Amino acid sequence: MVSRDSLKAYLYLSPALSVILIFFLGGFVLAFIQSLGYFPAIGQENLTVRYYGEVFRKPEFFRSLRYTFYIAIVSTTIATVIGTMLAYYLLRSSVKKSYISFLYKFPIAVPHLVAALMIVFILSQGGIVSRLFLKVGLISNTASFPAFFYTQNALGIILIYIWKEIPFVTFMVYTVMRNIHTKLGEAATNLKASPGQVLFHVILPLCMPSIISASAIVFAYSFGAFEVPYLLGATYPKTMPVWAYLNFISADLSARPIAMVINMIVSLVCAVIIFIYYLSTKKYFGKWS
Amino acid sequence: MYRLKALRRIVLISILVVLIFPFLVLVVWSFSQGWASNALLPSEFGLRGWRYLFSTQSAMLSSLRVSILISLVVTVLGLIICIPAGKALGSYSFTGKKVVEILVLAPIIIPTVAVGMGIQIVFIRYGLADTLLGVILVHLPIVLPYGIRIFASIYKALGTKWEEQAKTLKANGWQRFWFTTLPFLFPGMISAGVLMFNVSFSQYFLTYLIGGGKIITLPILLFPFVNSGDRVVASGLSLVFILTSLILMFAIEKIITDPEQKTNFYYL
Amino acid sequence: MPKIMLKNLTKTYKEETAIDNISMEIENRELMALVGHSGCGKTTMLRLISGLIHPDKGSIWIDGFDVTQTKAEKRDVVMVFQENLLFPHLTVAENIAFGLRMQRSPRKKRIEKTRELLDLMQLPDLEKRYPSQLSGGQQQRVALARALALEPKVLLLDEPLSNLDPKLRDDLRDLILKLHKEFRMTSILVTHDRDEAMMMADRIAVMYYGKLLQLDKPINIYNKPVSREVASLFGQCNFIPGSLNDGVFQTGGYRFTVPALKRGGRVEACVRSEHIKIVRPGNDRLIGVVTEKKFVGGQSILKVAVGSLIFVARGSNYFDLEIGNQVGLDIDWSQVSFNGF
Repeated sequence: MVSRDSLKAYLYLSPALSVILIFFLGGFVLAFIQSLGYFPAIGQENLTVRYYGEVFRKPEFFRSLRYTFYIAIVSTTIATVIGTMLAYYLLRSSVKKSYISFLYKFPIAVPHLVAALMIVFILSQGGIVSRLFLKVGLISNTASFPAFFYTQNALGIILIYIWKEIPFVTFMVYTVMRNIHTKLGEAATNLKASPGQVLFHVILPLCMPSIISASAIVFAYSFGAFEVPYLLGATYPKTMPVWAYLNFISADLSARPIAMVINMIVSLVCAVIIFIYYLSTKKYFGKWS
Repeated sequence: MYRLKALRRIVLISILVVLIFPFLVLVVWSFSQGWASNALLPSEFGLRGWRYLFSTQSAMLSSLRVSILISLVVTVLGLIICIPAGKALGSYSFTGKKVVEILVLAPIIIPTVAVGMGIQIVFIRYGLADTLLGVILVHLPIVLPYGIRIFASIYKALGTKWEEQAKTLKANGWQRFWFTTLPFLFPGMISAGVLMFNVSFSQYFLTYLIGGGKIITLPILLFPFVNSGDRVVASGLSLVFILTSLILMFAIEKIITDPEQKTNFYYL
Repeated sequence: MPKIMLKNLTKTYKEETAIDNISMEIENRELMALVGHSGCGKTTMLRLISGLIHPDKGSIWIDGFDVTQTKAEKRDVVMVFQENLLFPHLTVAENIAFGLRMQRSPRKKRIEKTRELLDLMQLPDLEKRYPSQLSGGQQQRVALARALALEPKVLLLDEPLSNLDPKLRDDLRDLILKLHKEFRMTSILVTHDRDEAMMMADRIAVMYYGKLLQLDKPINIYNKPVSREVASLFGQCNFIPGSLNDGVFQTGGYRFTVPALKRGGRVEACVRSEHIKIVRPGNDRLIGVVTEKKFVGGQSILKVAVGSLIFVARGSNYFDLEIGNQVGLDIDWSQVSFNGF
């Protein structure tokens, strides 16, 4: 017997669930099926795992995976650490609070493509900083300006990501931090804790769940992103999503299942990482509430 | 004490620089008319770029219209869908709730590239590819998690007390929603609405893959400029993009923090 | 020398004056209660003394030192908050030892002290529990233990008992008194419960919209309130306007002989319900008619109308009286206080 509450709840959820199940998870399932080789357009209707084997054996696979991980881990770590520090800074600064706490959210509203464009204009070899160095005499021509884009170190990409991701982390952490600081922070101060001790013993532990979930979202985004690495990534290796896309639009139709396999791997990595993040928050939740 | 103050100063200034400098660059570029490739500043300023943007040749205005249209539809539909979903998750406990909670977060966990590439073939089959409807339908699921999260927490905080009070005063379902719940949802509608609009407005990959190059939104137009092309036009286009988003963000901040607006909700 | 001296303290928030030029002295090892209606500034006073906020004007002295500018974490003052504010992510033991840990007290001492306090508070097996797993009364005791671990010279308590049920309240009240004496502390207790204040405090400070109305021993606050506001805070008071001259109080056509007082002229008498006895109507007494009767916990409360005045009397032998009965009022004028207009 299904309870009346359950029925009502599912009724309310039905529009959202149908949209997500059909237009999102549906696409995911289709990608999965296609990764198993199902491709009626060229007459393949049997399911097979051979494409997975093919992908794993390709030399590009490991390099692409590593490159994508590298970009995601570096940008997530920097964004999380600096984002949290920024939230704490906002908490403790009283004077300029009103306009800074409005301004910092700015990059969140700016689309990634625009952010990419802005940073290219600044840091590319024909960009502002390069011209400044030229003028000042640090370099003799713009070609000697260090390359930020199309490089193995993916510095440009990482900078573009963190420009947007730091305010995002701050945004997600700040409210929680402020609530804790006001009440429990005062209790700690009253118990003779210095501001540093309050931060370390009270604020950070209690903010961890928010910090972790913000970090998880940032990682999933950085790992699965397409636009920025496609435009500004190294010639080789490509990041996984870009590699998948190139296979997808390839004239060679047998590359299609390869694309899907890569998609599946990317999705799996994201899901696993999120799951790990989720597990780590459990330690914080059980006994506390 | 001095060192702390100086450090704070430095942090403040670097934040401002990092935030504002990129925009200045765009503004300068968009108004430049002659700029030697190695010079630090443009030699000539003018409105050439802007005039071009606003002319029909650039397709800026038409793509702006398409972008806003798509994103508005997605936002409105999104709100209509997210409010009941939020209510379900925030006010009820039911079997399978945990699973639903994860499902609802799926669009944030699973990258859109996988879903886009997977679903394209079906969309082509059903004639949804290259259409506005198709693009709207793929945008929709990726904005939902944001809205549902916001409304679920509002409903949770609200509790059942207002509804119960209204029930004893003989209000029916719709009346209860309109008079006791909606006023509380209003701020959430605005912040969720803006977030959803933003996500849809900035979306590139899905629009490109499903829209097939026929549906041209601002991101589609802007895409090629990142690598190459006329920087004057690119800057102007970016500024239009940012300005539209900015206007909306400013609007919510104003509305939500406006004390008078807030108290009015409770007078309903 | 008094333990705590407050000189001309003023604190304003936005446009409102929370504390309006208050000066007072709190003696060493005294337990003072701060009483007043909500919003009168009692919590603000505690926060000022603890150092969590700073006054706009005036100074705070503890043990002869000006601590006005000293930060909260450096003052030898510890506060127990109304919502106890136990750290949810720390165990009971860790909560209690928190202050000592912040002062980098050695581990051995922290463990010892924690154990001591747990025993004192009668919570011996709860060391490893988390606050969310404790009852309200237990949480309050942990909060107290946490404060006492630091052996503060001054203990501030912000309505520590208001969230507890009556039985728990009694137990905790006795505990606080016991600890106050044992630890030889100077304590300030904020409460809106007048009975609590009367029972526990050596002296009571009555506050009203940021001002200090009266600071005195409980018995004097009760018997000699300096104003109507103070009087009405404690117990039922019948206010009778009239004039007082040379030991004769005149009101509404009646004349009463009262103990001679310094004040004269127009006054308001504060006659407490317990000072009125309802008796048979007689010549030299106020005569009135019973208009209302209520029964509360072993006593009857009666409203008696005398002309245009209404008296409220309390007693345990009025059960047989009915509405409409004519009665006489016998007032013990030696207990009545008078305040000038």
